[in-house]
Amino acid sequence: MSDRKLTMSEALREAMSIALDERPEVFILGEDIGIYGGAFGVTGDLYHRYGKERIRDTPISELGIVGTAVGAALSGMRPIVEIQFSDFTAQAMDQIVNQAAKIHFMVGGGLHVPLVLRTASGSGTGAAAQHSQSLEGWFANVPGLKVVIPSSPYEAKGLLLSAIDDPNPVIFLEHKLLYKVAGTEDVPEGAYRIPLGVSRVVREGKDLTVVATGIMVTRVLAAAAELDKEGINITLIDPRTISPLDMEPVYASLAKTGRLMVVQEAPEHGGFINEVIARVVTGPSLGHLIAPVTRLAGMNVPIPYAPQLEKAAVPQVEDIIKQAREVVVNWR
Amino acid sequence: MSDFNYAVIMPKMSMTMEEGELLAIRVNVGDTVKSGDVLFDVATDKIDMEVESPADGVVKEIIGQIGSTMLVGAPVMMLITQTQVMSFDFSTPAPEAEIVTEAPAVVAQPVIVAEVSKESVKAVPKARTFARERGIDLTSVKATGPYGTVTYEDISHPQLSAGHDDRKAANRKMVAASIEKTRGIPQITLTRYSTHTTASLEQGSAHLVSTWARILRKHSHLNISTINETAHSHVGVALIMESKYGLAMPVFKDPDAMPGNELSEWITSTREKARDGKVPLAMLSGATASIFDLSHTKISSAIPLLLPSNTTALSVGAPDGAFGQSIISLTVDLRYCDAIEAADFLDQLVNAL
Repeated sequence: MSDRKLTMSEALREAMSIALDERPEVFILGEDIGIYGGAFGVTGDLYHRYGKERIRDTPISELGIVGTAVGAALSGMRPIVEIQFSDFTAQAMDQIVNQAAKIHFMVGGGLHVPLVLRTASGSGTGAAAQHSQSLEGWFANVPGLKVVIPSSPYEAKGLLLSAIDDPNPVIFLEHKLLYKVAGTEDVPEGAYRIPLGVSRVVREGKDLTVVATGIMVTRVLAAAAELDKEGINITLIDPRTISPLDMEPVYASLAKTGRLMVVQEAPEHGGFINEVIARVVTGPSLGHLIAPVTRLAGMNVPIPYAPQLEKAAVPQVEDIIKQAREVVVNWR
Repeated sequence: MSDFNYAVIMPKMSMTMEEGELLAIRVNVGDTVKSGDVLFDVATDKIDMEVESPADGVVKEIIGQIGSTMLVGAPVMMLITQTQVMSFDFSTPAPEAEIVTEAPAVVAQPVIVAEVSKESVKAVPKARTFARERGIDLTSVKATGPYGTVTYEDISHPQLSAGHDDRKAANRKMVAASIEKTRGIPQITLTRYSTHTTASLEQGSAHLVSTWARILRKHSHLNISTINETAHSHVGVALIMESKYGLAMPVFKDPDAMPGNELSEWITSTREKARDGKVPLAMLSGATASIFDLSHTKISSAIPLLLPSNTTALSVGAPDGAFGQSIISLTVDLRYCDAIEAADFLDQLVNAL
């Protein structure tokens, strides 16, 4: 097969294009996604290829956008919503949490809300506190929402197609720093689907099991390459979908390594990584632990604007190396 | 069709309502009622409301008294109905009594308390499992982990983490076992005088390590692994030094690629760590050759012994007081290097020094 290294933006656009071709009921709506091509250029030329009926520019009201999408989904459409920054989902939270997530359950399964909400997440672009948050924990705490965090272009395309297939709402959180980075894996041209709720073992090593998602997968991989030189070998597991959460590979890995480290960009307090820890210490892996579980997360502060502080507020490769080394060396 | 007993309760008519007053009862025991017929009237602080029958049936019993205040959920009257209004059937009394009598049996307080106190030793979960499976008393295990915690190694390999003397003995055994592996290898040791001088131990060691590394890099057949017979991609020189637990052999990877003063500092700091018994984990593997530097002792020579999978071992003795000459010895694995070649390498080293 020929070399097909895409950026995450390109892979996402390709997935949406496939969905638009496959199903007439798929359409995209959001702010500046049409002629402008999206705040991060993800929708790109879709407007010119599919027209303004299917690629719909909306007024600047997140609540209105998601409300429209919920209604459309209830009446048989499959809307893909783009919210420019995940921070702005706060504006639409009533539609997301109280409507989209619950309708299926409140009518005894009689209705479906096949809606995908794509949004840009995370820090690192100098966009400051109101445009840099990692809010996956909010959504994971709402029963009825599935929460997907792709970590590479290949993953993004396969996961987005599954999200569009899903009969109920899926929150799809894309890290801004990954949009323009070409992946290391080839992205096949046609449709392929990565099932939601299945974790991926990214690499295997004997000393430490690390659970991470999104941009942190990239950073943990870089850290692992350095630690390999020191004789410390890491297993990396990317849950891909944090709700529902597939823990089986984590349990299987802990039986071999006995050490767990969880990494996230979101603030530590109340973060999703704590759910991973909770399942480990309340579940079948407790007896395999030979070290205290260690976690590395963003500081409990709003993301600062100053670039140095912004970097310092969330885990970087060096932080991961240091903490992973400590837990392996101190606990044998 | 079977009859159901259905309790018509004090309804909750607002989010904050906790109780309501029974204003009037519109039916008598024995009356036949239809779904939607008014059964009684209720007053709250916000509203007065008529409560309707949820199904067709017969009034069996009236529990509430007019004018009384009743909690939300309290039964006001019982109906007999053939419609299963809700899944709960009052004709079978709720087994509250049973729950109460069973509860004490579940609680085995003394056992739980005993377990907790027994487990108050700090230990990682896997160490606990290990102890339980083998009947080991955790209080008898020496804890070496952070916060005085029994680590898995403390219990599974106590010789590695036990007391200082035990650890020294374990270390000695480990070194001996690794040397034993190379005893059967055909080898030769050549010895030569050298007149090189060095200011300090560290500078001398650094110079020696990087010079030998350069020679090994040039002659890659001396820098191969005898286990899989492939050339190493790096040169790793193990420098034998003193440690809290006997000898340590930290490995300096690619020392020839580093400025002399940096290497010298690296060796100094590693020597300090070794004395504390804390050689970095990363430095414990990857040796492709070893050096025993005795130049700052009173020992004039030692026969170097090959480490497993290495093809060369080097030692440098203390300089002779009268002539300032030191003895350098080189042991080579004869399967990979013959004696004439070895003599040439030794000459190259002495000349470079």
